Amino acid sequence: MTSWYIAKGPESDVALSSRVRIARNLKEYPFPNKLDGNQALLITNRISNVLKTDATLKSKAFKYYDLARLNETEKNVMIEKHLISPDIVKCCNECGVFISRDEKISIMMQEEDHIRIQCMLPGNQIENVLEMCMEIDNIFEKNIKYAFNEEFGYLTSCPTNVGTGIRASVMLHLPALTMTGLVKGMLTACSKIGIAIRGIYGENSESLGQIYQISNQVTLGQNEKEIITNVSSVVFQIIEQERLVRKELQKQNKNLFKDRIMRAYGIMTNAEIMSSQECLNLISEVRLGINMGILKNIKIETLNKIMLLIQPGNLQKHYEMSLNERERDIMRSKLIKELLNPIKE
Amino acid sequence: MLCQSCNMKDANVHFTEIINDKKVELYLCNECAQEASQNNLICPININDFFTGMIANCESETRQSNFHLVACNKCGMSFEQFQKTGKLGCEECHKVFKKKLRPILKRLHGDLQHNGKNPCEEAISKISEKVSKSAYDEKSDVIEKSVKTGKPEKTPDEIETLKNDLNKAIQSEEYEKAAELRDKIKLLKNNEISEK
Repeated sequence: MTSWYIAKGPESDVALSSRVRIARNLKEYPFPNKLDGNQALLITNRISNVLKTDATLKSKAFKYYDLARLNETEKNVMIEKHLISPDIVKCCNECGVFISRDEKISIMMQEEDHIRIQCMLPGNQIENVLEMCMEIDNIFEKNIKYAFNEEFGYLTSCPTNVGTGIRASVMLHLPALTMTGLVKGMLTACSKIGIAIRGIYGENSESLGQIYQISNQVTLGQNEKEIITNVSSVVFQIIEQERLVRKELQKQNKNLFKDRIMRAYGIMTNAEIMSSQECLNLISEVRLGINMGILKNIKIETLNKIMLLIQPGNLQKHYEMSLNERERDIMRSKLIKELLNPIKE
Repeated sequence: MLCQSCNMKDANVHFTEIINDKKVELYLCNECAQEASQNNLICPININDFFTGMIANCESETRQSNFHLVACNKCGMSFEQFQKTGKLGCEECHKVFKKKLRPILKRLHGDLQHNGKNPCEEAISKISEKVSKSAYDEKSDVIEKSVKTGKPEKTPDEIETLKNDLNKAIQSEEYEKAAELRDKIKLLKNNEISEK
């Protein structure tokens, strides 16, 4: 079975993955920042029981990971796969995560809220992801009492999440809109309708690898469907724009366009030392090349695999050894060569 | 909030600048923020931190009314603590700080009323299952007939009024009445679908 990180989803020429997370808290307990260790364990146990007894959830084969018992590499692997948030690593209150066998579902315990249900699928299919999330939430709701009031909806530790507790996001690869600077204008336009666009790798608004996350900011006042429709209509617009600008760029200067991609491909397949930063930018060019029909012999799935495995945690797990930064840069190039030119090596 | 530099556009970047060891905070629009960072004077802060800044912004007003000293009776979280961390301590905090939370929520979400999924629906369906069905069979028959003969364009309004009544019934904990109303709504909705 191909893992979902590598699989190609709908509209994979622009959309990489869709993710929905919902924040929930149990009624009778204080939120994680005021919770003691014993209470935290009790909550985790209750969730664990539901996951074991409910037939639908049982079939997903969840496994629990106590964060205190994981080493740095194991935690980084999970962060890089978006199974846990970087924030949960900083929490120290008996936190952990339930992960389904297919790694499409993760349930974080005692992060900012008691429960964070998160579902992910490849490509642009945010509606399906919401359905997955809601199915789990409904089962939980039959078994536990959530903190809720009529006015503010589901109560969360941070006021930015109250109401539906939903954060829906789609990851998009926008090389053409970045090159032309058009992405900045979209950023402003989206902030006006409660949608945020941010670069997912790298700090601040500077995006590495031209990958952006489109997500809702508003959780109160709109219902779940409205939130999802809002995000998906913005995503639809951006995808269309990106495709248009890609075609236009290619048309305007065919040789320049191809040169750029072939150079990136050349470096990627020949370099001996490569930082993850450089690598992400090269992957971006190569991905564009594949989607524009310039690089015909590489599968998007291979590139997806590279994108996951070149990250520090996954790289060390792949080679089953602990590597320092310099060693990682060397092994990264080795891995890419192995995956891209299997015949030569 | 308007940009503190040009006072024209909406501010959506939170900037922190250190001048002579003193922290200066600014809320800027994208354009001004870009200009400022090019001048290399200011270091941009993640947009997530923007929120904590928004709460701190109403600090002076809070201090005047001594509200910052108000603490939650369940978890002990004070409003001052909340302003610093941006995180509430428990469900009760939402009630205790309601007055001060409302303007914050309004700014964040532009709305104050939850419109999404409701766990009460679930609770009521459980309760209504317990209520003996036969007692309502007759009534639902009557409703069914009246709906079938009624004008279809009227049903959405009717559903709305019934939904309002349902909410009221839940709030006043009249679950039997709520169950009855829920059945009515269900009938009307089914009828609507079958007509389409």
